[in-house]
Amino acid sequence: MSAVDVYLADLRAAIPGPSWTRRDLLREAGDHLEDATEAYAAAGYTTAEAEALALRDFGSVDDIAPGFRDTVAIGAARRTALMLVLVMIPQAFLWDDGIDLGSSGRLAAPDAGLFNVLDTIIEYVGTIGALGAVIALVATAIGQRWLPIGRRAARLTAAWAFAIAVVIPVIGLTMLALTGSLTVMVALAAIAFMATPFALVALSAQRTLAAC
Amino acid sequence: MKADALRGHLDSLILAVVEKQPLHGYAIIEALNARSGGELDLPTGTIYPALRRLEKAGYLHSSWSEVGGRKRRTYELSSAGRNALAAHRQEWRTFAKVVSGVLGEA
Repeated sequence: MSAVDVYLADLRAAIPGPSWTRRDLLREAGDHLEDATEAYAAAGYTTAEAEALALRDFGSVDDIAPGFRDTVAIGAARRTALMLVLVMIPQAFLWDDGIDLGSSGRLAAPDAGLFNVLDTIIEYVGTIGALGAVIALVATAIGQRWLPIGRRAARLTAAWAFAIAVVIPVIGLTMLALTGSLTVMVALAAIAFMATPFALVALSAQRTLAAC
Repeated sequence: MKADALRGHLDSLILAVVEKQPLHGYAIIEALNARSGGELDLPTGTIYPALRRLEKAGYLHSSWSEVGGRKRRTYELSSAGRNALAAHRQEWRTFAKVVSGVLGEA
């Protein structure tokens, strides 16, 4: 194993997070070290000397890893925010305008008072959650023009997405349970369009937190 | 010139060297070294997070292309990046004029 291979393995180990977020970045680092080694070798250095000089120029893992970790964490956070936005879009259809679980439950629920409270809460949480996801999505992309986005912002995005991804299904499923007239079709719709997508968002948020 | 002194300017320097033509990472480092007369003293690995940030900010476009028979990720200035570079150049001229005016000559 060459010195460059050892360095890249150490760098990979110093950057936690989903492999897809690290892949291109580490490939570019490898390409760079390959080009730099060849340039030094062409200047008359032995392969070992050329690799050592290329690695010296590139910087130690301790110096380089923090910047790479920021990049990976921000990438993971952007993906999590995008997932949350996409998952939130059909929720209004599911709860209010299309399948309309809200009004059907309101009519059937034995404990209509609690149902109505939860219905109000889920509307607020949904609105705030979607708004936060859009802000996070913009901040981790074009927002980097003006804002110093780093691991802290990535952590905040992931924590926000995780909280929303847990709270909405819990409230939604509780509301369904309260109706007392849950049909197989509505239960399947809730699993397919609410529980499963939010579970994927929560998983992505957890991976983002691991990258921070 | 140490990396600390470059803080806040590295992004503009990168945009400046890809202004004329798309370049891959190693070529960007070479261009920075050539245009600075070898005075820039920063770990070359720090450029990759900066390139990724500039791309996500919409200042650069990237694509994988063949360079010297190898696949390399190549970066190209976007129209937003061109505007940002022009604005930074103007700010720098003003800053340099003001500081030079105050410091004067020894």
